[in-house]
Amino acid sequence: MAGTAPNWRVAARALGEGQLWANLAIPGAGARLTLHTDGTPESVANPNAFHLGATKSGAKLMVKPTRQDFFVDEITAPVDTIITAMESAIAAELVGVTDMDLLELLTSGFGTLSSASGYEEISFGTKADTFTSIAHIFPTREDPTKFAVWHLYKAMNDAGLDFGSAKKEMSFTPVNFKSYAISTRAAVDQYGKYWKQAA
Amino acid sequence: MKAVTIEDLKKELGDESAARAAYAKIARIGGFGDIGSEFKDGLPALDVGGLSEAKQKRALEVISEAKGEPEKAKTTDKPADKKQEGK
Repeated sequence: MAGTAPNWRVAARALGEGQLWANLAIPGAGARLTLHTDGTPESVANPNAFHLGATKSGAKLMVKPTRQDFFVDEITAPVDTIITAMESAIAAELVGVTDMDLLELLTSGFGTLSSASGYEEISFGTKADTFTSIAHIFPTREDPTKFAVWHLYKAMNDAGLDFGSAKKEMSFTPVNFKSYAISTRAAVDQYGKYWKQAA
Repeated sequence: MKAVTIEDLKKELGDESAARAAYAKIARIGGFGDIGSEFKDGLPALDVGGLSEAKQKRALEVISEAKGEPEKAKTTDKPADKKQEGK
Protein backbone atom coordinates (compact mmCIF):
# COMPACT_ATOMS: atom_id res chain seq x y z
CA MET A 1 0.00 0.00 0.00
CA ALA A 2 1.39 3.41 -0.98
CA GLY A 3 1.24 6.70 0.87
CA THR A 4 -0.61 9.75 -0.41
CA ALA A 5 1.29 12.54 -2.13
CA PRO A 6 1.19 15.79 -0.14
CA ASN A 7 0.18 19.02 -1.81
CA TRP A 8 1.95 21.95 -0.16
CA ARG A 9 -0.15 24.53 -2.07
CA VAL A 10 2.84 26.83 -2.36
CA ALA A 11 1.97 27.69 -5.95
CA ALA A 12 -1.29 29.14 -4.64
CA ARG A 13 0.37 31.54 -2.22
CA ALA A 14 -0.35 35.27 -2.22
CA LEU A 15 2.79 37.38 -2.07
CA GLY A 16 3.08 40.79 -3.63
CA GLU A 17 1.34 44.10 -3.76
CA GLY A 18 -2.17 44.61 -5.02
CA GLN A 19 -4.38 47.55 -5.83
CA LEU A 20 -7.52 48.83 -4.17
CA TRP A 21 -10.26 50.15 -6.44
CA ALA A 22 -13.66 51.60 -5.61
CA ASN A 23 -16.70 52.84 -7.54
CA LEU A 24 -16.55 49.73 -9.68
CA ALA A 25 -19.38 48.47 -11.83
CA ILE A 26 -21.59 45.77 -10.37
CA PRO A 27 -21.23 42.44 -12.18
CA GLY A 28 -24.32 40.55 -13.23
CA ALA A 29 -25.37 37.15 -11.98
CA GLY A 30 -22.65 34.61 -12.66
CA ALA A 31 -20.24 37.27 -13.92
CA ARG A 32 -17.13 38.88 -12.50
CA LEU A 33 -15.39 42.24 -12.51
CA THR A 34 -14.04 42.93 -15.99
CA LEU A 35 -10.26 43.36 -15.91
CA HIS A 36 -7.80 44.81 -18.38
CA THR A 37 -4.78 42.63 -19.16
CA ASP A 38 -2.69 44.63 -16.68
CA GLY A 39 -5.03 43.70 -13.85
CA THR A 40 -6.68 47.10 -13.51
CA PRO A 41 -10.45 47.43 -13.92
CA GLU A 42 -11.33 47.58 -17.60
CA SER A 43 -12.26 51.20 -18.15
CA VAL A 44 -15.21 50.79 -20.51
CA ALA A 45 -16.85 48.26 -18.23
CA ASN A 46 -15.92 50.29 -15.12
CA PRO A 47 -16.23 53.93 -16.19
CA ASN A 48 -16.16 55.32 -12.64
CA ALA A 49 -13.34 53.21 -11.19
CA PHE A 50 -11.38 55.05 -8.53
CA HIS A 51 -7.94 53.96 -7.30
CA LEU A 52 -7.53 54.27 -3.55
CA GLY A 53 -3.78 54.69 -3.82
CA ALA A 54 -0.90 53.31 -1.83
CA THR A 55 -1.23 51.49 1.47
CA LYS A 56 0.99 51.08 4.49
CA SER A 57 1.17 47.30 4.26
CA GLY A 58 -1.26 46.02 1.67
CA ALA A 59 -4.84 44.98 2.32
CA LYS A 60 -6.53 42.48 4.57
CA LEU A 61 -9.42 40.56 3.06
CA MET A 62 -11.97 38.98 5.33
CA VAL A 63 -15.21 37.04 5.19
CA LYS A 64 -16.51 35.43 8.34
CA PRO A 65 -19.72 33.73 9.40
CA THR A 66 -21.19 33.93 12.87
CA ARG A 67 -22.66 30.59 13.80
CA GLN A 68 -25.11 29.50 16.42
CA ASP A 69 -24.72 25.94 17.61
CA PHE A 70 -27.58 23.86 18.98
CA PHE A 71 -27.39 21.25 21.68
CA VAL A 72 -29.45 18.50 23.18
CA ASP A 73 -29.27 17.80 26.85
CA GLU A 74 -27.91 14.31 26.45
CA ILE A 75 -24.95 15.11 24.19
CA THR A 76 -22.12 17.49 25.00
CA ALA A 77 -21.15 18.41 21.44
CA PRO A 78 -23.46 20.56 19.30
CA VAL A 79 -25.77 18.55 17.11
CA ASP A 80 -26.57 21.29 14.65
CA THR A 81 -25.45 24.77 13.58
CA ILE A 82 -26.68 27.61 11.44
CA ILE A 83 -25.10 30.80 10.18
CA THR A 84 -26.79 33.74 11.88
CA ALA A 85 -24.69 36.53 10.38
CA MET A 86 -22.05 37.10 7.75
CA GLU A 87 -19.36 39.73 7.74
CA SER A 88 -16.97 40.52 4.93
CA ALA A 89 -14.58 43.42 4.58
CA ILE A 90 -11.46 44.89 3.02
CA ALA A 91 -9.15 46.65 5.47
CA ALA A 92 -6.01 48.67 4.81
CA GLU A 93 -4.20 51.83 5.81
CA LEU A 94 -4.17 54.48 3.09
CA VAL A 95 -1.53 57.11 2.51
CA GLY A 96 -3.60 59.69 0.65
CA VAL A 97 -4.81 61.62 3.66
CA THR A 98 -4.96 64.98 1.88
CA ASP A 99 -6.74 63.71 -1.22
CA MET A 100 -10.21 65.10 -0.70
CA ASP A 101 -11.86 62.90 -3.32
CA LEU A 102 -10.50 59.89 -1.47
CA LEU A 103 -11.56 61.26 1.89
CA GLU A 104 -15.08 61.84 0.61
CA LEU A 105 -15.25 58.14 -0.25
CA LEU A 106 -14.02 57.27 3.24
CA THR A 107 -16.49 59.52 5.07
CA SER A 108 -19.75 58.06 3.87
CA GLY A 109 -22.60 59.34 5.97
CA PHE A 110 -20.75 62.26 7.49
CA GLY A 111 -18.34 63.90 5.02
CA THR A 112 -19.28 66.44 2.36
CA LEU A 113 -16.79 67.47 -0.30
CA SER A 114 -16.73 70.95 -1.71
CA SER A 115 -14.17 72.99 -3.55
CA ALA A 116 -13.71 76.32 -5.21
CA SER A 117 -10.80 78.42 -6.34
CA GLY A 118 -8.12 78.10 -3.71
CA TYR A 119 -9.42 75.28 -1.56
CA GLU A 120 -10.90 71.79 -1.29
CA GLU A 121 -12.65 70.69 1.88
CA ILE A 122 -14.52 67.93 3.62
CA SER A 123 -17.03 69.21 6.11
CA PHE A 124 -18.20 66.85 8.85
CA GLY A 125 -21.83 66.35 9.73
CA THR A 126 -24.35 63.58 9.21
CA LYS A 127 -25.94 62.95 5.84
CA ALA A 128 -27.28 60.02 3.85
CA ASP A 129 -25.06 56.93 3.72
CA THR A 130 -23.56 55.92 0.42
CA PHE A 131 -21.97 52.64 -0.60
CA THR A 132 -19.32 51.72 -3.11
CA SER A 133 -18.38 48.65 -5.07
CA ILE A 134 -14.79 47.92 -4.06
CA ALA A 135 -12.14 45.35 -4.95
CA HIS A 136 -8.59 44.44 -4.09
CA ILE A 137 -6.79 43.06 -7.13
CA PHE A 138 -3.41 41.35 -6.96
CA PRO A 139 -1.28 39.22 -9.29
CA THR A 140 -1.08 35.55 -8.52
CA ARG A 141 2.35 34.26 -7.55
CA GLU A 142 2.05 31.24 -9.80
CA ASP A 143 1.46 33.45 -12.87
CA PRO A 144 1.95 37.22 -12.52
CA THR A 145 -0.05 37.77 -15.72
CA LYS A 146 -3.10 36.39 -13.96
CA PHE A 147 -4.91 38.20 -11.17
CA ALA A 148 -6.95 37.41 -8.10
CA VAL A 149 -9.83 39.67 -7.14
CA TRP A 150 -11.56 40.18 -3.80
CA HIS A 151 -14.69 42.13 -4.75
CA LEU A 152 -17.37 43.46 -2.41
CA TYR A 153 -20.38 44.68 -4.36
CA LYS A 154 -21.79 47.10 -1.80
CA ALA A 155 -19.48 48.35 0.91
CA MET A 156 -18.83 51.28 3.16
CA ASN A 157 -15.83 52.38 5.19
CA ASP A 158 -16.78 52.12 8.85
CA ALA A 159 -13.39 53.16 10.21
CA GLY A 160 -13.83 56.88 9.66
CA LEU A 161 -10.65 58.95 9.43
CA ASP A 162 -7.86 58.57 11.94
CA PHE A 163 -4.43 59.88 11.09
CA GLY A 164 -1.69 62.03 12.47
CA SER A 165 0.78 64.56 11.21
CA ALA A 166 4.36 64.19 12.33
CA LYS A 167 7.89 64.78 11.15
CA LYS A 168 9.17 61.27 11.74
CA GLU A 169 6.15 59.20 10.87
CA MET A 170 4.24 59.22 7.62
CA SER A 171 0.48 59.49 7.96
CA PHE A 172 -1.89 56.72 7.05
CA THR A 173 -5.59 56.42 7.79
CA PRO A 174 -7.08 53.01 8.50
CA VAL A 175 -10.04 51.91 6.41
CA ASN A 176 -12.41 49.01 6.83
CA PHE A 177 -14.78 48.61 3.93
CA LYS A 178 -17.54 46.49 5.35
CA SER A 179 -19.82 44.67 2.95
CA TYR A 180 -23.60 44.88 2.86
CA ALA A 181 -25.93 42.57 0.98
CA ILE A 182 -27.70 43.38 -2.24
CA SER A 183 -30.55 41.30 -0.97
CA THR A 184 -32.29 40.82 -4.30
CA ARG A 185 -29.31 39.09 -5.90
CA ALA A 186 -29.07 35.31 -5.83
CA ALA A 187 -28.62 34.17 -2.23
CA VAL A 188 -25.19 32.68 -2.92
CA ASP A 189 -23.88 35.92 -4.45
CA GLN A 190 -25.20 38.85 -2.43
CA TYR A 191 -22.04 40.21 -0.79
CA GLY A 192 -19.18 39.74 -3.18
CA LYS A 193 -16.81 37.30 -4.75
CA TYR A 194 -13.22 36.10 -4.50
CA TRP A 195 -11.98 34.77 -7.77
CA LYS A 196 -8.84 34.41 -9.84
CA GLN A 197 -8.04 34.21 -13.49
CA ALA A 198 -7.04 30.79 -14.72
CA ALA A 199 -5.54 29.52 -17.94
CA MET B 1 -19.53 45.85 -23.98
CA LYS B 2 -19.83 49.28 -22.45
CA ALA B 3 -21.22 49.37 -18.95
CA VAL B 4 -24.75 50.63 -18.50
CA THR B 5 -24.75 53.85 -16.52
CA ILE B 6 -27.63 56.03 -15.44
CA GLU B 7 -25.83 59.04 -16.96
CA ASP B 8 -25.68 57.40 -20.40
CA LEU B 9 -29.31 56.31 -20.14
CA LYS B 10 -30.38 59.84 -19.27
CA LYS B 11 -28.55 61.13 -22.34
CA GLU B 12 -30.01 58.44 -24.58
CA LEU B 13 -33.55 58.61 -23.29
CA GLY B 14 -33.64 62.28 -22.38
CA ASP B 15 -35.66 61.68 -19.25
CA GLU B 16 -34.59 60.65 -15.77
CA SER B 17 -37.60 58.53 -14.94
CA ALA B 18 -37.32 56.63 -18.22
CA ALA B 19 -33.62 56.17 -17.59
CA ARG B 20 -34.26 54.81 -14.11
CA ALA B 21 -36.95 52.46 -15.41
CA ALA B 22 -34.61 51.14 -18.11
CA TYR B 23 -31.79 50.77 -15.58
CA ALA B 24 -34.05 48.77 -13.26
CA LYS B 25 -35.18 46.51 -16.09
CA ILE B 26 -31.60 45.84 -17.18
CA ALA B 27 -30.61 45.16 -13.57
CA ARG B 28 -33.36 42.55 -13.33
CA ILE B 29 -32.43 40.95 -16.66
CA GLY B 30 -28.82 40.58 -15.62
CA GLY B 31 -29.44 39.42 -12.08
CA PHE B 32 -27.69 42.47 -10.66
CA GLY B 33 -30.32 42.80 -7.97
CA ASP B 34 -32.53 45.77 -7.24
CA ILE B 35 -29.80 48.33 -6.82
CA GLY B 36 -30.86 51.57 -5.21
CA SER B 37 -29.45 55.06 -5.40
CA GLU B 38 -27.60 54.63 -2.14
CA PHE B 39 -24.28 54.22 -3.94
CA LYS B 40 -21.75 57.01 -4.17
CA ASP B 41 -22.75 59.36 -7.00
CA GLY B 42 -26.08 57.57 -7.35
CA LEU B 43 -26.73 54.36 -9.22
CA PRO B 44 -23.56 52.39 -9.96
CA ALA B 45 -22.53 51.21 -13.42
CA LEU B 46 -23.80 47.78 -14.45
CA ASP B 47 -21.13 45.61 -16.07
CA VAL B 48 -23.34 44.03 -18.71
CA GLY B 49 -20.28 42.77 -20.62
CA GLY B 50 -20.13 39.71 -18.40
CA LEU B 51 -23.64 38.63 -19.24
CA SER B 52 -24.58 36.03 -21.79
CA GLU B 53 -25.02 37.28 -25.33
CA ALA B 54 -28.77 36.76 -25.08
CA LYS B 55 -28.99 38.91 -21.95
CA GLN B 56 -26.81 41.60 -23.48
CA LYS B 57 -29.12 41.65 -26.48
CA ARG B 58 -32.14 41.89 -24.20
CA ALA B 59 -30.51 44.81 -22.37
CA LEU B 60 -30.03 46.64 -25.64
CA GLU B 61 -33.64 45.92 -26.53
CA VAL B 62 -34.77 47.51 -23.28
CA ILE B 63 -32.98 50.72 -24.27
CA SER B 64 -34.38 50.59 -27.80
CA GLU B 65 -37.88 50.04 -26.47
CA ALA B 66 -37.50 52.93 -24.04
CA LYS B 67 -36.46 55.13 -26.93
CA GLY B 68 -39.63 54.09 -28.73
CA GLU B 69 -37.83 51.96 -31.26
CA PRO B 70 -39.98 48.84 -31.60
CA GLU B 71 -37.47 46.91 -33.70
CA LYS B 72 -35.14 44.71 -31.78
CA ALA B 73 -31.54 45.72 -31.32
CA LYS B 74 -29.62 44.08 -34.08
CA THR B 75 -26.08 44.03 -32.78
CA THR B 76 -24.18 43.58 -29.60
CA ASP B 77 -20.56 44.13 -28.88
CA LYS B 78 -19.14 40.75 -28.17
CA PRO B 79 -17.78 40.82 -24.63
CA ALA B 80 -14.72 38.83 -25.63
CA ASP B 81 -13.77 41.58 -28.08
CA LYS B 82 -13.85 44.30 -25.47
CA LYS B 83 -12.45 42.57 -22.44
CA GLN B 84 -8.71 42.72 -22.07
CA GLU B 85 -8.42 45.51 -24.61
CA GLY B 86 -6.26 48.56 -24.05
CA LYS B 87 -7.58 51.68 -22.45
